Order: sequence, then C-alpha cells, then structure tokens
Amino acid sequence: MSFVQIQAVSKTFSKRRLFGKDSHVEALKNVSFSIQEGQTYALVGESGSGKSTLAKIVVGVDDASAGQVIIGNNAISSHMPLHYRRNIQMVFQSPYASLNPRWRVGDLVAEPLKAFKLINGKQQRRDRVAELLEQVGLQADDAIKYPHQFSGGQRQRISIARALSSSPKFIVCDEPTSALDVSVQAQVLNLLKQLQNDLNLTYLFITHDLAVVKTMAHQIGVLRQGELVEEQPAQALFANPQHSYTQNLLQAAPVLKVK
Amino acid sequence: MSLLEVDKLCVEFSTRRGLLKALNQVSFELEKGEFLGMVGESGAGKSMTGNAILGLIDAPGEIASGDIRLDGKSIVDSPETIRGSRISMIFQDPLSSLNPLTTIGDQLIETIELHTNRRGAAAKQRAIELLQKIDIDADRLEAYPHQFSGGMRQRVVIALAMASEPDIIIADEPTTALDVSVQAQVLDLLRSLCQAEGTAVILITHDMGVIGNWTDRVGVMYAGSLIEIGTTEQIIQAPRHPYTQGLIASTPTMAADVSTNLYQIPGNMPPLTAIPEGCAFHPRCPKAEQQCQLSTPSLVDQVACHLWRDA
Repeated sequence: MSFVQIQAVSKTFSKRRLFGKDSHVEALKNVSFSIQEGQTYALVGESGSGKSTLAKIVVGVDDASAGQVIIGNNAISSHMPLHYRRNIQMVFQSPYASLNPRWRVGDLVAEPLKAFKLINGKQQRRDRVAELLEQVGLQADDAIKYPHQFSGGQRQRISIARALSSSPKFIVCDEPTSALDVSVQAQVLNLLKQLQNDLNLTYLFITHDLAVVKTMAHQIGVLRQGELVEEQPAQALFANPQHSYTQNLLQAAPVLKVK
Repeated sequence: MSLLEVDKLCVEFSTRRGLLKALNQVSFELEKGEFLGMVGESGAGKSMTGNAILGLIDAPGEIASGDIRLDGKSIVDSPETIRGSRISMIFQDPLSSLNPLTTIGDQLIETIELHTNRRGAAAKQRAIELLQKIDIDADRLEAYPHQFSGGMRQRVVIALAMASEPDIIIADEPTTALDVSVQAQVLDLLRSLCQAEGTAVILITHDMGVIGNWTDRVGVMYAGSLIEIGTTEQIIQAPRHPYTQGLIASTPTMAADVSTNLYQIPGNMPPLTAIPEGCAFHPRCPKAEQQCQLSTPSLVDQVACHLWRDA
C-alpha cells in the first residue's frame, strides 16, 4: 500500500463581500495521487497552480474543503495529535527566510526535538545535534554559530538537518533549491538523494524546474489551475507527455542540451 | 572597432575590513546586434559589470582602473550621457521598475520625450508602435502596471528599454521572477526585437539553460574575474576552464535520472574579501597545479587558466 495517499482533495477559498455576491476561488479541484514509501513524487506547476496550497494541506497546516490525506495510517488535519506531526517535516524554499537569524544553529536544529519531547538532558541534545549536522555535511561545532555565518547552500543544509531531527518518514520539499546557485543546487540535490537512500525517506518535491525534476523524481504529477492534468512515472512523462499543457511546459523549459 | 569595449576593468570597494576587489581585470567586447550572456554564481560580479558600464557604482565603490569605451570613446567619466539613452537597463523585478501611480502610456511617452526628439502626438504614436511590438493592444496605454500580469509587465519594461532606441540593453536576470512558459515568451520577444532593431544585449543570468537557449556568446564569471568567454556552442559543448566544466556538469539536464547523482564542484565560491592567491578557483579545482597557487592567470585566447597556456 502507498505510504502517502491524497484522496480527492479540494480546497475552496471564500471571500465574504459586504455588498454583492461572495466570491469563491477553487484552489484545488479533486486532486488524488499516492506516493510509495522511499520514493519521490514531484509536483510540477506554475505560480498559482495550487502547489503550495496542497503542500500546506499535506503537512496539516491547512485543512482540505473536501477529501482527505492519509500518511502511514494517520488521517492528516490541522488538529491532528502532535505525535502524528513528528513523521512529517518540511524544507522551505528560502533558507534566508526560514531560519530565525537570532537563533544559534544548534537551537534551530534542536527545536523539533524539544517540541516533540524527543530528548532528555543537554548532553543528549548536543550529541543529537552534532550527529544531524554531520549527516548533512556540516560540522559539529557549527552548532554555536548563527545562520548569517553560512552561505545559502549551507543554510539549506541547516534546514534539512532541522527537518531530519524528529526522524520523520516523510518530507515535503517546497522549491528547496530555487534560491541557490547551480553548483550549490547540485550539492543539495545530491544530499537529499543520499538521505533518501540512507533513511528510506519519502519526498513530496514541489518545483517548477523540470530539469531538477528529471534528476529527483520517481513519479511526476502536473498541476494546472488546481487540477492534476497528468501523472506518470518520471521516465514516461519526459519521453511521452500526454497532456498539451505538459508538452508546452517541456517545450518552454530552458534545459541545457549537452551533446 | 567593437560597439562596446570593456578593457581591464577593476572595481574596488574600500571597506573597514580592507580593500574588496569586486571586479578584477574584466575585458570583453560586444558587437552590434549581439546577444551576449554573462553567467556566474551570486557575487561573481555579473551585475557589478552591468552596473559599472552604466556608471551605477556608488561610493565606497569606484572604478579603480581600466576603461569602458562605446564606439571607441571612453564613457567612464560621463556615464549620464549614455545611461538610459544609448545603453538602457532591464531589471529583475518588473513591478518595482514601473511607477505604480502612472499609466504605462505616460511612462513610455516620458521616456520617448526625454531620450528622442519626438514630442507630443509623435511621442504618443511611437508609444503605440512600441506596445504593438510587444503584442499589447494600443488601448492599454491608459492602463496602470497593476492591471498587467507579470509577463506583460516585463514586456512593458522591455518596451521602455527600447523606447530610447538604445545601442545596448543590459538585462539583469530579467526572467527570474517569471514562470518558465512566460520566461520563454519574454526572452523570445527580447531576442526578436533586438534582431529587428540591431540592438545588442548583455543578458545577466545564473541559469545555464537560459544561456544555452538564447545567447550567441557567453562570458563566465568567477569571484570578480571573467574566466572564459566564447560562443555559446563552444562554452557549452567544449568548455575549457575547469570551473565552466564543473558548472555545466552540475546543471541538471534531461540526460539525468533518479539513479544518477549530479556532478558537484567541491566547496563554495570564496567571499570577495578572501579571494585566494593565484587563480581564484584553485582550491576547488580538480586539476590545479603548483603554478595555479602562485600566479593569477589572465584572459588569453578567451580563457583564464594556466592549464591552457601550456597546451
């Protein structure tokens, strides 16, 4: 059985108006797909397609208007029990905005440990933080530094270490490399792949960059104006895109052609 | 004689922590109607090069040495004579480069009257022509920037840049804020307009895909130096500098899939305050030899690398 199941999820945002009719925006329309354990599902779409709305629902920050999300055997919602949450983590787009500049790296990485009460005592905390930092290619003594002392790629490693700290099974990566330079992007993508192999992680990878998708995804879904217009295994989608929107997207993507 | 010649340009910032070399001996030429890409990581000096050409370096920065010549005449001391008229600029974010309180028609007409000898009705006629060139209806002259989508706004910015009939447009990451399909439209438009008018373009970007698909020639920058320049074909299919090779190898392409890892260049680009002695790339270079640590290679035969000097 699939590890993550998104079942007929819809989301409508309503705006009450004082005069005239209320307006409704259908951000997601009956979206269903599933992700196998240990695999990466890439969700591709342009701005306004509903990618981030779906991410919020999948991690239980926002609730679906209809349908449900099941991860493991747990139904996800914004009021689910705390221990469901430790299995689900997120890596955000901008490592500049998602790390509190006033916190030391050690505190940032240990926050989920504290929130889920996963450690006892200072020594245990220090050891776990050191282990996590080394796992993502940083050093144990980086824990006492502040985020501004790191480059963009290193900051994204800190975000990944923080996401890993509660030993999650499922991580939502929302454009994790679009703020990074190419050479650094390669480092972060390789790290994510290696962690997936070592820890059997399941990823929902949200991006608009098709070349990145090609190197990361097992399965791909194309989202357009809230609808999943196409879904295929990665190889098949690139070799033989079915929907005209996917074809256009592939054509427009500025992919480097090296002979 | 080339349209634009950048000759051994050095830009320095004196800071409390010492002298910072933002650009180090950058030299290249731009021909009429050419589409030149400038690629590199953040902080490599791509935008600094564009700003230096337009005379937009503010204190404590200054052009320490070198020269920039347009049609053979130095423009370093009087950039205001060419800025916006003979060389215009397109910035990354179209919303912040348009005035939100003025219609796009007024913004176009203002630019046309300032930089050409068309006035009144003639200027308005030219504004309508420009809108038609970017595929926007003439009746949108009365519209405000917020009434346009991101891609349309960037097309309006292109029209504004073309309004002064410049010789060169410097486009600094013009499509980074846009979706891929809109990016393709905007770059296609910029390319076809410039071909039609004979305008040269310097396209600054960090996206190798954009470089590969839209430029004629490419300059690669690293830590303030231009390390390689050549035709797009040469740079992508047969890069010579080890950094260019690494940059291309680490770019995800359609040949890759989940089972393969991307090539990664070890380490990070050094901050400009701590550029290593010798070749700035040598600590990360897989092919570095002893002389790479000792002397800084200069751009000879379009590549700045000791390994190619001997060959």
